[in-house]
Amino acid sequence: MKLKGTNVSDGIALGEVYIFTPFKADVKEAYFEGSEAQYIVAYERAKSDALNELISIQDKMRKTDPEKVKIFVAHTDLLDDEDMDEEIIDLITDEKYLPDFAIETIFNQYKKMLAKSKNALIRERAADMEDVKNRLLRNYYGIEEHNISSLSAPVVLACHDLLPSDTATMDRKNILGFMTEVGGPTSHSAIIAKSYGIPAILGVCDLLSTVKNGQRVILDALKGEIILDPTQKQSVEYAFKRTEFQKERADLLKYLDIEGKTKDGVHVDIGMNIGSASIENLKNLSHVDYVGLFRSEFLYMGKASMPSEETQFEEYKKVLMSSKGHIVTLRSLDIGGDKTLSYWKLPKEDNPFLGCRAIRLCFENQEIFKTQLRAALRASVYGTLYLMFPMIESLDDIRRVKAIIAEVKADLDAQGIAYSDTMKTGVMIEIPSIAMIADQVAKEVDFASIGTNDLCQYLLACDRMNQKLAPYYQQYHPAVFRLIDMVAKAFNAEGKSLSVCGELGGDPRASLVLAGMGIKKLSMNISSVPRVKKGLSFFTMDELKTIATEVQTLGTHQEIGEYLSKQLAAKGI
Amino acid sequence: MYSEKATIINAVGLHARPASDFIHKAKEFTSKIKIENLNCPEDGKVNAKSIVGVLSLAVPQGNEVEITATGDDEEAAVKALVAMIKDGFGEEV
Repeated sequence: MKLKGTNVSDGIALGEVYIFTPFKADVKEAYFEGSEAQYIVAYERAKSDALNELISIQDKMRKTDPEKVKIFVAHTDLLDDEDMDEEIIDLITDEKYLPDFAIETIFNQYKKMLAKSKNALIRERAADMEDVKNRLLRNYYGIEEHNISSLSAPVVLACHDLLPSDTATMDRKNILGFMTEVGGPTSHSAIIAKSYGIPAILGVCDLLSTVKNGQRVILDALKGEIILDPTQKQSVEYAFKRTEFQKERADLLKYLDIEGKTKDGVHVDIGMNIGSASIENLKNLSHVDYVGLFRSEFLYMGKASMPSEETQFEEYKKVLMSSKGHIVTLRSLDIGGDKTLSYWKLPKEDNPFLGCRAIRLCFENQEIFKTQLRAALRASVYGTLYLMFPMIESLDDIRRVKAIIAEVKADLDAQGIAYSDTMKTGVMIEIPSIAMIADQVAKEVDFASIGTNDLCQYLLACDRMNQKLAPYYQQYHPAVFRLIDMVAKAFNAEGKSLSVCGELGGDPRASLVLAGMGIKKLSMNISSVPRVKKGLSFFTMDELKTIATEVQTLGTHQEIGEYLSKQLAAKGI
Repeated sequence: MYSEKATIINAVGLHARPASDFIHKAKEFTSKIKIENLNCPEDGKVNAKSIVGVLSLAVPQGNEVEITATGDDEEAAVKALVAMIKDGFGEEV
């Protein structure tokens, strides 16, 4: 029998189920009569017992896992919070709430308030609130803690949900993997699973009513499947898959931080594409040479209104400062067509991909465009900013953008607001018309980045979002490589910087061709970085040039794909 | 009543450990102490001794706050908290 869920942390685990049912309070609305004295005493005792528990956990962890101590210090702060304490006591004294009802009420109130925050860090604290509330209630009822801090044997954990104190104290050695009934990729437990490197599947419906303690399972957290009572054959098969997975992961980790270069030491800048200034993204900056694409849409999408200049400025500044001088390529607003905003009603178009979107939309709505430009220019003093414009089709577009930037700079000058004089402006090369006049473009911009996804789409006249058209969306079509080669030659001749930020840049096979064409900057999703760095390191620059030349003589997507696979296989990759 | 303004200079802003240190320091004084983020006046004044209150303000680096205290040790309280802020909570700024 198979169960399904959401894979939140890759890996495979084979073992016996251990069902973890932590204390769960079932608080009823209840009141008392008479004096509140004994109830205040009971509440205070519960609080001090909970506090003692937290202190003893902190003491234990200080020796084994000092990083985790912070979590429990934060829990102590929450437990001791003045305002919550006052409100709980008020409910007991004035409204005659029984202590557990008062605790439940106030904690839930504050938890809801935290969960509503626009700040992701604050929202995460809601899990801590639940955790502390639980501990306080458990102590009020005088029930002992049942946790997973020390297990007697390796197990595959099954539970409804995992709270911060569970994941912080869990016996990592003995937990081969875990599965929960609730949760998803953004849950606290998902984040922890990934950071521990433990396979995890969340959101498994009816998990606890299906599995039994001691039952053998295979947790396939690559497919998001759980196999119950596997056969001998399945067990052998998955044990092998697990070893392969672990080998590959160790291998990739090796390549994440090396310099991007060919076998004979020719350096290639390897960059990262990001969609926000999240903590995870900022941390990953240390593995790459630059940010080849900083999508700005996150500031506009999923919000109730247009982001202010201040909000934008803060986000751009954050990334620039965290990049410590490395190039950050900020792309201006790229919405319209298929990407819409709830608060900005755009006219419906028959052909959104060919419509009024990205830079065209910005030309039509200059106030919104200028707000973004102002924020970007103001932030430019904090780092090395490359400002990039999407959906550029002609030199007219380029000149128009430059004129608008000049207007914004004049405004800032008049207001005495500083911006960097060395900020660079460039374009996305995604519309074939601009690619074909790359030699002229190279004279008028500081840099360019090839958006291979849209370039491919427009070249092949194929909607890349339409699954049914997948066979027609041929990324290795020789026309794509020919056009990219033309752009590379033009920009190299002019001595201007050229990067690739589309999917081809992060493709282990295509990246060989791009490097062989003389493209010195490849930007990709962080998860693609190790494979690309690994691939490049096995070939000399001459070998890559040969590959690029050879590809130009092949006629189909299929042939090129096979040829590239053969090259990698020949090197044992 | 006594108050002073100060700009948050540390990288993470008034969050996590700095927030914890902040409320612990505030609790050392008997006065009632309030903190307000002057860049976001709509968030109001919160109890400087409440971790939940301070965290919910989510004051980022670069914003200016005003600390107001009322009580016997009001001046000492405000000065101590302002000194902590100006010191960047001993963190990287």
